[in-house]
Amino acid sequence: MDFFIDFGVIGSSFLSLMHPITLGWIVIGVVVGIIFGAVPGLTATTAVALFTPITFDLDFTDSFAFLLGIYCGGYYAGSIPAILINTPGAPGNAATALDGHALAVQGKAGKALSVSVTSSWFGGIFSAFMLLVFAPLFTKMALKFGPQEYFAVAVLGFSAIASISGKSMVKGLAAGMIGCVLGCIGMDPMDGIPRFTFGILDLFSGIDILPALIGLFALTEVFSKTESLKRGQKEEVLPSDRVLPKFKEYWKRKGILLKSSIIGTIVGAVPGTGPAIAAWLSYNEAKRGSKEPEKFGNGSEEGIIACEAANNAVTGGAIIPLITLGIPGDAVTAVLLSALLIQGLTPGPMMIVNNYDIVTTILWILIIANCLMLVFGLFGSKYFSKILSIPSTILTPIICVLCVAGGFSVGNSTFDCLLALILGIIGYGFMKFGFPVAPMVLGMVLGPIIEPYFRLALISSDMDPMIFIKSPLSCLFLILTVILTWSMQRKGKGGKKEKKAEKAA
Amino acid sequence: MKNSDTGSGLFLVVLGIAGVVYTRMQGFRSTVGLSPAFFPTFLFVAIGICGLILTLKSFKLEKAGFPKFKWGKLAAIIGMLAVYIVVMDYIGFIISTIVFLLASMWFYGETRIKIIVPVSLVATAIIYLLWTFVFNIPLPTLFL
Repeated sequence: MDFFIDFGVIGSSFLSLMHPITLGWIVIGVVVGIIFGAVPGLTATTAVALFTPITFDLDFTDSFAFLLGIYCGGYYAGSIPAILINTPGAPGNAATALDGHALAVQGKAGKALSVSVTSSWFGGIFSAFMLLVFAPLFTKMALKFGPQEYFAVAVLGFSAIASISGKSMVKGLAAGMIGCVLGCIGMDPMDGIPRFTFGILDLFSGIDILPALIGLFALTEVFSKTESLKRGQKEEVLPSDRVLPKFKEYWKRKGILLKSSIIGTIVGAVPGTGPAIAAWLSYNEAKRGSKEPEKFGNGSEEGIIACEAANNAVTGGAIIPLITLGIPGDAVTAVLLSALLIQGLTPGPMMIVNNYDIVTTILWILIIANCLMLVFGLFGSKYFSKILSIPSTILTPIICVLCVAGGFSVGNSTFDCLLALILGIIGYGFMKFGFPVAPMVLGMVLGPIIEPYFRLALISSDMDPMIFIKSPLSCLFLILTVILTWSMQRKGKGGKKEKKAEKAA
Repeated sequence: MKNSDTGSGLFLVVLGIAGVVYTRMQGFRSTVGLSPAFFPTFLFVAIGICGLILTLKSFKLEKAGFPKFKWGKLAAIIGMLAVYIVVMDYIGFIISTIVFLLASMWFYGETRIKIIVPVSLVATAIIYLLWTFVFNIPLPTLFL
């Protein structure tokens, strides 16, 4: 089967998006993403999790226009609080806080925001085009996959997540395993035997990923804010102004922009990695190659460019394994996987073969969302300090209502809302004891992928476990799993600089 | 107990053992290939091993206390959310949401009536209208 980039389909996908309603959904998505990304404690993941249930009634294009708008806007907007209040909106923006806030303290907050959004835009656009080029190549490889290869790729994603989330690899792994156990609840995928349902009928179909996401990401934040809120507490927000980018400035730094975007795309495409790794790798790489390394940490524009280009390049990269293999790269793409399934689409190699227009539509949505993000980021910078000034005393109760309304939308029943609340309580307890919740969610997504492929592979090989080693691709992925886990453990979960940034924040 | 990791580790060990015992007790049988009990058993064993490693590693750490919870505040918001969810089925989304927003904003420290009343009414109206008319997702109403 031979297929590659089809320009006819690319053109028609672009035209299909040129509809006022679709463009409107992208605009709303980007604005919602920027608001959620900018408010500390809320993230792109929270926003996508909260708003996915409301896309049930939308068609594929409008649904993804909205969700990918949130995805791009949310990833970028984490840099706004990093710059203005020295609190990264998401782990991927921690490195931005080092130089961005230093610039803001020098009275150049507008400049820092401008550099941040322009670099994010470049990274996002670059990775969207890489998605177009590499998705068909991945698909060609994935078409040769059997159950053992799918199992090995899912294990690769799982182990990488466990090794990078949080300060303790053991805790990350345990959280991932617990997520897998939660994923086992419901009918067994091969024999249809109910497992761990305790006779509750609503659990027979398993725990839907959306209440889990709402509980583990949004409600845990609500509980965290509940404990930390003090009456009359206000965050010190530095003022920002509007600074438009100058082409010459970026042309001078084209090497850093390009290198960081490539790093972001590649890191994003590896299941289980994420923007935090991409941002720190690019930051270190930019510092290593810079003529002024001493400026890094003290307000270096190159530092912001490196972090933000890589951070947003992850968006396109992370979609590659999602649509080619059906394996989400991180928590947000796990939610996007649910959104694809809601639309009746099953991600995997056959999706590109049969629905190439969907890949090109995603590409154009990402490009348009990134361009809108640039416009809102540049012209809205004066208002960002106002978003950050919305008191948590008002915002937190509204988030609670959105959680309940979102949970209700999953199955038109309050059972999912209660499930989200219970998982939120469990997740918060785990968080307080230093267990990361992201691997738990990924475990819930990857567990039900790993188990049937593992069992199918064994059945197809007459229960010979060597099947996973005998297949060259499966063996390669398992070796990669070992190497990745080992190297991540050596790095000590993100390195000293991340810890320094966390402390600074 | 030396620190919170010792407690977490022991909890995982107990969870692993309980999980293995419970899975075995279910007597899952498969017609083809591996039993449906295989994967959960493997997971519970792995959780137990993680717990054991965590406990052993914790002995090398400095003595430290358990994380502190603000039980009163947490119980209040969890209770409010639980009541809100349960009551929503009976009195509908609109009334329960307005009451929840008023109560929770007050609880979080926003006591200015001129702020909490309009915010509660407007936020409820916007969410209800968006869900019902834009996203076509019916929310519970009083007369359902």
